[in-house]
Amino acid sequence: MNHKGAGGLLIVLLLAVQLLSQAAAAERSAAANYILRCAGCHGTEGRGVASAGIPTFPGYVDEFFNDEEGRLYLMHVPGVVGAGLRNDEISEVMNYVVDRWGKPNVEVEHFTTEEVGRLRQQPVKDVVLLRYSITDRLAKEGVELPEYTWP
Amino acid sequence: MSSMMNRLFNLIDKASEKSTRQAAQHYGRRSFLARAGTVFAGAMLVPVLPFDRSLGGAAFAATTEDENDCSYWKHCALDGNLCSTSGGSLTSCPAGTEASKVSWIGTCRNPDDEKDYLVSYNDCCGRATVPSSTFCFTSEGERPGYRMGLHNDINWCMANTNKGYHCTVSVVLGVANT
Repeated sequence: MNHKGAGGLLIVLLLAVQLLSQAAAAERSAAANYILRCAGCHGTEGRGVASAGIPTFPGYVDEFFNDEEGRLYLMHVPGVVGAGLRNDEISEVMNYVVDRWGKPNVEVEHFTTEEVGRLRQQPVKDVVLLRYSITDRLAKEGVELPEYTWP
Repeated sequence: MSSMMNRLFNLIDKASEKSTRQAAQHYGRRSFLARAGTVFAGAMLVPVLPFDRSLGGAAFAATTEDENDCSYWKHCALDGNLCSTSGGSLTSCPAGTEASKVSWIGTCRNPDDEKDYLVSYNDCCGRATVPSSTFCFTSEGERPGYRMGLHNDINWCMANTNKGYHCTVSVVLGVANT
């Protein structure tokens, strides 16, 4: 190998090392992304802070998964919108949440990357009003939902 | 991953050594200096490769072991007064205050094991700040205010009954890559 070839190899190897390092650092599990981007408000146990308008997950969150409007709402929750996660990461985190805190005997439809992308494209004018529209309808059907205090 | 890195670095070392020896045998020092000068001048014009300093990137490897120093690794994404210099400790609120119910969570690299950890920065609420306490503003991974979900310049006591900010603790929640 001549010295020019060695120089080229060095550059290629250094680029490969950097790309590998970035790829390894960029990927996080759904559990880690939940803690990093959601648990600050919803807590590591998903309990939220009802008095501060942060709803609790355990036993309730699956109701939103099994409702068409509920799925749209979930994709427009401010924490989801502002999390800075990719569509595939959002679907993984949402599915992690429902698997962990949904009612144990209730079957739910998991999010796909495609559905996350599609629902995020749909405009939602007022996310609070959308939530009340969903919860009022579900309440009439006898579904119990957590306290929600936003005016 | 580290063994692969070691192999790559060994390969680079060997290639560098070989090419350096070959160059030394073929060129005089003046020739080397002339060419090196051209290379260094050219390198200044080449844009630096982007480096990911976001939450997904590796945190800076802090070296201090002093928990009361802002460069201590667990404080890498902190914005506030250290509770350890406000009458509390690294992980516990001072007497007369309560931990915030919501918090900022960041990612910090532990220089001892080179792993990234998720760290919760809970504010302690209910008393005025201690003037002599150490204020840290590292906030690694934070983004400007128009990215609200990624912004840490917030009083995390907002969800507590008593919203007065006192200081901030750094609590490790676990390894980031789990």
